[in-house]
Amino acid sequence: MSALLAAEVINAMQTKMVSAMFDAAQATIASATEVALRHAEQRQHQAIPPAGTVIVAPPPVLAAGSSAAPPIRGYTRRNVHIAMPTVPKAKPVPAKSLIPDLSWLDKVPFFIPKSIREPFLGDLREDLADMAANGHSLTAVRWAAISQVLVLVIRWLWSNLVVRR
Amino acid sequence: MPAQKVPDLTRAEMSILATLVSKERYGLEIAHKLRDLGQPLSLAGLYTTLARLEKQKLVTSRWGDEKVDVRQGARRRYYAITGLGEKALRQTKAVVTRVLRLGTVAQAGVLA
Repeated sequence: MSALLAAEVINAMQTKMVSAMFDAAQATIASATEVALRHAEQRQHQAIPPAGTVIVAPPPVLAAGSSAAPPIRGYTRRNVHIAMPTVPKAKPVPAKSLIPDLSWLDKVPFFIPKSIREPFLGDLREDLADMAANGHSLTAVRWAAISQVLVLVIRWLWSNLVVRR
Repeated sequence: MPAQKVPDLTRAEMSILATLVSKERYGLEIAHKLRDLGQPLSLAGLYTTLARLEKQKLVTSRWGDEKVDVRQGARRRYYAITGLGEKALRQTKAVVTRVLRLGTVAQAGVLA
């Protein structure tokens, strides 16, 4: 009789422990999923579909006094099924929108002859568009534009005003 | 008629002229070809060098008429090597070959 009572007490304690563990696990998984969804939303810049539900298998009901109650060791993560939401793939952004505004290029080297300036600026724009299409950042593209124009101005001044060949 | 003086070429000038031997090219095309050949040159450097070569009559240029959206209306300028440019290139090649041969002979003498 006392052995039966002890078994009942042990079973009840096991049930409580398992419930507490899974409550904690469920809360952790839910918060981790929320964080992952928020990050995915930031990355994709797109609306995230309705958040997926976290389905956690209920803790086993241990019948008091039942000798067929499963042992606690058998309760593995295979019992937990998490339905992950499907995040739609980001649409490829056209390269042209990544090119910064380069209209200032037409104003800067005004003193350089048109026969050099026009093809140079055209080629530079073409090159910068290639850079943007290859995944370079806007900052890198801007710096490339600025440095190329500066080098052209310095080299042109040097070859025309300083060195006369 | 006196023979036209052939100027000495720098390495950049020699490389640019070498890319123009097979066909006429525009600036960015020349820059890409030079990069592929392991002799990269910035667009700014390329255009100042091309202007110098044109002034020395080693290359000629013409405006292209194709429209490219990304160029925002700027036309391409095509460059072609002239007879004088080919002559300068051959002469520079001969000088470089002689100098390198001299270096090879000298090195062989040291090693012998």
